[in-house]
Amino acid sequence: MLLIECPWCGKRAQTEFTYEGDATVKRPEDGDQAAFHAYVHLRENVTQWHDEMWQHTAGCRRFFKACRNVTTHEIIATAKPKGDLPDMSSGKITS
Amino acid sequence: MVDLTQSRSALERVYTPGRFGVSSGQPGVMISERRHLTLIHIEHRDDDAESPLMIATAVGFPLPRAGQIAEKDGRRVLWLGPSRSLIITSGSSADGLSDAIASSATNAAVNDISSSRIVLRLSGPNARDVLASGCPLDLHESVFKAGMTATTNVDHYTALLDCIDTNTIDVYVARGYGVSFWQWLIEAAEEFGGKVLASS
Ligand SMILES: [Zn+2]
Repeated sequence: MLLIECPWCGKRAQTEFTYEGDATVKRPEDGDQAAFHAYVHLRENVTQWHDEMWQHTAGCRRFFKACRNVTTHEIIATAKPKGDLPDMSSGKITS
Repeated sequence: MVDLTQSRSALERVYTPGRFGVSSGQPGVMISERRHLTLIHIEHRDDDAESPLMIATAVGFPLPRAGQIAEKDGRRVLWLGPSRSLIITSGSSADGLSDAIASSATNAAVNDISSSRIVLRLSGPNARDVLASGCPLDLHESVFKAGMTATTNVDHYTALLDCIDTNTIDVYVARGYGVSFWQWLIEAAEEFGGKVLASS
């Protein structure tokens, strides 16, 4: 059983959570078609650390961010939607 | 004339007081449905600092912190999530409360959801063991203590748990899942020996 730390409820079982998508994409401000196409459809095919949106569906129901290694499933950190996740772009654990 | 406003429990056709499962010795778990409760759901914006104060004034005490319960004068307030609470009350403590909160905290969403849940009180030495067989939350008495609450899964149903004391936990499940949840619960309790008490 994978435990995920909800920023409000603390560590809970993976089965209480739902993956809600890529947290690195940002909705375009204007109605530019190409920008929206990229926002909706285009994704990096990462193999290591990835910033993701998750929802504590069976708990407090809040959305939050998680930095997850998509190969090992290790979650190094979670944060509230406006909070910061550690920069894992170098691929190493720096914290 | 028939009284079409009379409330009926979703468990009416399955609820039968008496012993079940292992029949030797004392029952490990007692189950009792709590009927006729008033449930008031409250939600406000995270950046709304005023609503919690107005709600507290109407209820009579401050809202609980994350994962906690606050209670006074027959009104029990459960933390559901950030900026969301559930008030459990009945009888005279419930009279006019929903309207009082709504007219005081005008920026909060206040809803009477009394009919939307079944409420079961599990008590006895194996009450936690029964729940633990279908629930991923750490239900050990040293972790999930009296005065704590959590929304979690019990046998894949979303369930709100309210820890009353070491041997007593109230379980809230959506009304539509009531009978299915009941069937799971009875089966899970059989190995410890169970007793369905009269509803309250
Ligand atoms: Zn949560």
